[in-house]
Amino acid sequence: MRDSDVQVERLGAAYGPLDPLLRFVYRVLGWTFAVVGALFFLFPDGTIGALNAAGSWLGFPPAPLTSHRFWLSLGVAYMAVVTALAFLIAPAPTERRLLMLPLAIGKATSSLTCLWFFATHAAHFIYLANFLVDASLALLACLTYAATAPAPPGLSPRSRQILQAIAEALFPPSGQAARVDAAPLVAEVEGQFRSFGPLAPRGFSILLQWIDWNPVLFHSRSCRLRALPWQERVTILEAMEESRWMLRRQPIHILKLLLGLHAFRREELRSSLLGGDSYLEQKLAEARSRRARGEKGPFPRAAVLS
Amino acid sequence: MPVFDAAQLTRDHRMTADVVIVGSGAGGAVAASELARAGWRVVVLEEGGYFTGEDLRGDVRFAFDRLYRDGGLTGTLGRPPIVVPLGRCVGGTTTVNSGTCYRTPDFVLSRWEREFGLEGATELDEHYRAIEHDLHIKPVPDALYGPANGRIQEAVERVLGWKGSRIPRNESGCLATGVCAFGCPSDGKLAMSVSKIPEAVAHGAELWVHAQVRRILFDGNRALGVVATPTPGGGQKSMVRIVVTARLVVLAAGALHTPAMLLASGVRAPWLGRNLHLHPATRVVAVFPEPIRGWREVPQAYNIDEFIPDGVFIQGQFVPPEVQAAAVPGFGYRFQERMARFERMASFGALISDEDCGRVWSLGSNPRPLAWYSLSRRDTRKLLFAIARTAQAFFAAGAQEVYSGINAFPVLRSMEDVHALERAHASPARIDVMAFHPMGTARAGARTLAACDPWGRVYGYENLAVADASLFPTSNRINPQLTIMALVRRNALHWVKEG
Repeated sequence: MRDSDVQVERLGAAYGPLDPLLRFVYRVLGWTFAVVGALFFLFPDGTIGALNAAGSWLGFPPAPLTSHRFWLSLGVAYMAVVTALAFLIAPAPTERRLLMLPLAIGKATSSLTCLWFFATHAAHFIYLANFLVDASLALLACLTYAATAPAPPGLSPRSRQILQAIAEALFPPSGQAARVDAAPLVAEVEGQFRSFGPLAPRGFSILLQWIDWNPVLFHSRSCRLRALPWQERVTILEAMEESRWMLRRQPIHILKLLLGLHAFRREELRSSLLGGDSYLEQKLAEARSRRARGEKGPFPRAAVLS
Repeated sequence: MPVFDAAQLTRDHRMTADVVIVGSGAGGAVAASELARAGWRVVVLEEGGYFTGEDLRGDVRFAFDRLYRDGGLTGTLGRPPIVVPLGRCVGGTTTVNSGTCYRTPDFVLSRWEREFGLEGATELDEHYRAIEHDLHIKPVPDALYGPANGRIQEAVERVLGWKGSRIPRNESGCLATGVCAFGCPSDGKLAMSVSKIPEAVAHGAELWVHAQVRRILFDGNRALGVVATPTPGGGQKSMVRIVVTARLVVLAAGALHTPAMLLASGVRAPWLGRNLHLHPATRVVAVFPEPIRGWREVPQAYNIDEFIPDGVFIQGQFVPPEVQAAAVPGFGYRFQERMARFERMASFGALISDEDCGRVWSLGSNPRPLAWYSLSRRDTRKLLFAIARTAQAFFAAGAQEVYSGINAFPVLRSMEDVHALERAHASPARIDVMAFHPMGTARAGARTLAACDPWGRVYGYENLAVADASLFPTSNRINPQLTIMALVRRNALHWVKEG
């Protein structure tokens, strides 16, 4: 087989949209676990010594060294398991996503036990460092597990409720915009997000959940956005729109763009904004008649062949 | 006519050509036209569909779905995240821009030649003239120039004493439908889809639509061709592969996607993916006491030239209500009340030539770009200056309110508010930034300073070339499409000469 054929064949393997990135991530994790495991085994005191040195610089008491090697053999065995898991996941992350769970469980257990020892046994830096590192790895494994799940066909009912609550806040119940019915608007926005690809509805749901929790997190409200009365919802969304924090402001801008995009297409609303002006329609008619007279085209698009 | 739809394929397809061109925008279309005219067998692969005036009705939602990449929400990460709307259809971004065609200022071209080793950058005149002739580039004529742009012009030139001019556009038979950025329904704007691509096809180029290139194929440092698959969502019948082998591979996918494709395919060249310039911009909206009705004329017809030497250009940018809504602050009745004044709204884009830059990566072997761009302090100051001058022009023209796009100063009501805005030194995170002109990520020039040689060939690869705004060594300080076309025309003629 020619080299180019091999490169072409590689593309044929079925994979999820995040697989190229995850392959890289899990390969890096695998090598990291392997190297760290080898260091534990070859230089057990050196590892603890290095972490103690870092800890003493930060003001933590040093953890004692141990002459026992029994726990070391269990530790190295654990590193061998997580290394194997990472290398097994790397070639086909979406297909082998179930293996991310034992990895997450191992890392979470290691992290939480260290947190427990840090709180109840002694405030050694080695416990704190392992808690932080392994918690991050457990979180990473969980996130990649969630990200590789089969894409849902659309938004969950809860996400739809949030979107509807925002749409109702943008377009008030009376006046010109009362002509905008929030329910079909929500369906249109959801449909557009679905067209962006399998991961888009998931990303959109996260964005909506984030907006929903904002009143609780930043405004001392006891309930989430979708449960707030209309006027309060408006106040909070306006505060988010003017927030100095990008993470609060940007989602509102994206939603406003999407909702506006669909709402202002509605003929009755559009026409009232344009003062009943039918300028574009006149111009479209002019363009049609010009085409009919053969003044423009034909263009090759008319001949797209199968 | 040799135009094919990859979505209709039911089995793998292989073909051989002299040159395969990835992308049909300003760079790809001009390269295809020049090379096909020279008798080369040309295959153009375009990820999007083929749309002309017959399909277009000024429908913004349709445009975002079918003409734009990622529904118009392509963006960069950083502080702040920036939306970079890009075309994904035959004609690329030329199908969804306003048709603005400026030459790059001479002092910029001299700098490219002198400091970056881009040989012949100052000798583009012949190529500019050829493109200007082919695309009927001329300043907006009286018949298409409306009172909305005219009102701002009057204030800028008579009240403020600044320089400004009508914008040169690539049009023939423009009807001023007012929806250029959502696909021209009259085919009056001479986007590549109705100009250079038909020209290339007429000279025998083969155009494939809905063909998403996944990888460049190599034998060592020699490019063999590319492999593509039908674009997801393009109505594809099955997962097939299209393999094009060619003696020259030309990437013209834009300054975000071209470097990502090269990196994902394993190309390692100095400067590749670095030096991302965007021309950060903000849409500034003004409300006037009487109707403006900006939709009844060419939306981008007037440019404030006064600040071009400072790297600031301010251009008309009237948009339909669907798009304007995002720039109008407020929710509920406040939002409704403001939107009800749409007839009285004018909007201009405040753009800057950015001094600092970002970077593009690929996600492993996935050719999708990951772009990082943070607005630097000096570029933020420049953008604030641009917003302030735009607001000043609006107030001089009699505006009652200006929506600045800066969250700390969402509504300006007088020049005092403008001065306060300038004094405030807002952080970049507080400005709503968009960008329309990505460039510079595979810059051309001397070997130590660039990813490509002065003729667009990637260093270290004898038959791999770039033909889009990625080649620009720095920001070109103005709308880039005409310079892309001129530079690519020059390079394509050089490739023909070299055989």
